[in-house]
Amino acid sequence: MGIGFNIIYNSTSIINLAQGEFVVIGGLGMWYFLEAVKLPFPLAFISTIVVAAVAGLLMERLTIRPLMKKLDLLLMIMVTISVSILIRGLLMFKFGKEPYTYPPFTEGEPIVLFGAVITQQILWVIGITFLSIVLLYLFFNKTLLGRAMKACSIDAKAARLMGINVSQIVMLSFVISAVVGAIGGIAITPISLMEYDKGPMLAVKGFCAAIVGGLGKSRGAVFGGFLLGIVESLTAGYLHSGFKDAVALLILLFVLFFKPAGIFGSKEAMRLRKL
Amino acid sequence: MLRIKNLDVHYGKLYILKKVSLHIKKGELVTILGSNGAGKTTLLNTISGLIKPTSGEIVFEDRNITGMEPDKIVKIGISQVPEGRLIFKTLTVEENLLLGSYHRYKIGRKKEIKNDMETIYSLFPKLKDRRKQLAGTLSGGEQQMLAIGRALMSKPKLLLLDEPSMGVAPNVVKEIFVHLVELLKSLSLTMLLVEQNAKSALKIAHRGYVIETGRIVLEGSSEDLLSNKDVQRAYLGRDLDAEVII
Repeated sequence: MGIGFNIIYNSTSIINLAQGEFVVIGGLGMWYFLEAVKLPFPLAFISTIVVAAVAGLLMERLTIRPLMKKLDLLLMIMVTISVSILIRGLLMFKFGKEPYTYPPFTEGEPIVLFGAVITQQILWVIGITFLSIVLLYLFFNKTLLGRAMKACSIDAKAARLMGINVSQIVMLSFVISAVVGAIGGIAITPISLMEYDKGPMLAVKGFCAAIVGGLGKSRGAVFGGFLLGIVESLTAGYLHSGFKDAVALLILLFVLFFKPAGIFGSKEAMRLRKL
Repeated sequence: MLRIKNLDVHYGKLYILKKVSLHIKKGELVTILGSNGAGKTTLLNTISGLIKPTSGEIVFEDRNITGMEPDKIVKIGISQVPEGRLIFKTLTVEENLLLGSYHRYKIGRKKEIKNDMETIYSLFPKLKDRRKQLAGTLSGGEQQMLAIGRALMSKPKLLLLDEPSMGVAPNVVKEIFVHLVELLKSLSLTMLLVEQNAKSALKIAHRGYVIETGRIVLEGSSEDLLSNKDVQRAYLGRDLDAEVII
């Protein structure tokens, strides 16, 4: 989730608040193809990814593209909110308000590790997360296209002068982040169910994770995510489960107060970005 | 090599460029002089395709490039070193240079690009020492060299330079201008140099144009312009009439 934020932020400096909806699209789409259309697993997976990619593409073409010329970041961020509301509405029409789920990727006995019970699905989630971090790290730091994406966010004009087609890059970043979000949604649905309005909560959590870890750093987002998750569970266990969601925001505030660049964020990069 | 004919550019109803015509021959260094807001940067950005002209024609090597997209223009060999350098500050020096070669980058060409990067490093040895540093941590002069190096990585035939002396220490300006003359010879480049620092620009340029409120008001060889009274008064900080009276 947090990783998805980073992709778009890295290439456009926009914070896409509809990112949570991509996750929901992933979860619900997977349910639809798997349970309603009865496709075999790999095919359902691919179909879901395609749907999410198209959603990301449409979102960029229809809402961000026309605003790109104005270069008003705040406006674009607000548009992402409206897109998220729109997607939520559409999903509600299609799927109704009930939560959905489907069986985990692999059946089997949960593993017991140091007294903790870990289902196989959780292992899948962790595996997929790490795989995406590694791939995205390699993409942004080792390939020219990834660097071009970063370049677009630092200075779009300079990027154009380098012969980079900025509008294509922005589109690509939306597609990739939609796909990453959808994969996340596909992976977590068997554990935590998925309903049409789960997006905003996911977005807030993911956003906190991204900020806590340092915006633009995938490693950071994952670390932030784990940290939030652990603190949340502790709060739910020891204090009251009602405080669970508030804690994420509390941590976000504290990080912003004391280490605005995030735990993994470099101060230097933050400063240079502002210059 | 480059021929601009009756170029008009305006933002809304406001004219920025009016009937601008100029030409640059292969191997020439041509400078455009003018004060702030005269339209120099707009002219370069129009050549680079960032701004679309209202009317007029830009022809590069017998090819009409008017209104072409910026990425195509870089591809056919026109590269710009933008005003204020606009380097990618949070990327390393090396990544900046690499991005300069974006349009010709292919898997099979890695070696060729590596070689080109070494060429840039040999031209600007200071950059080599700092290849792994974030570009934003360089000094103004080094950033300017990086911006020039980055533009050269696209293997341009025509290099557009927008105020390379801006925000750079005076002694470093000299160094940069020396580099420009070297580049002109060693890479057989053609250059269009926009400068406020008229004296230094005319010293290294072959020819020059003077632009005032969007119009070309004067053109000639550098020697002619250097000795022209109006140019001296307006851009070289000398008032000949006043001198005569004293």
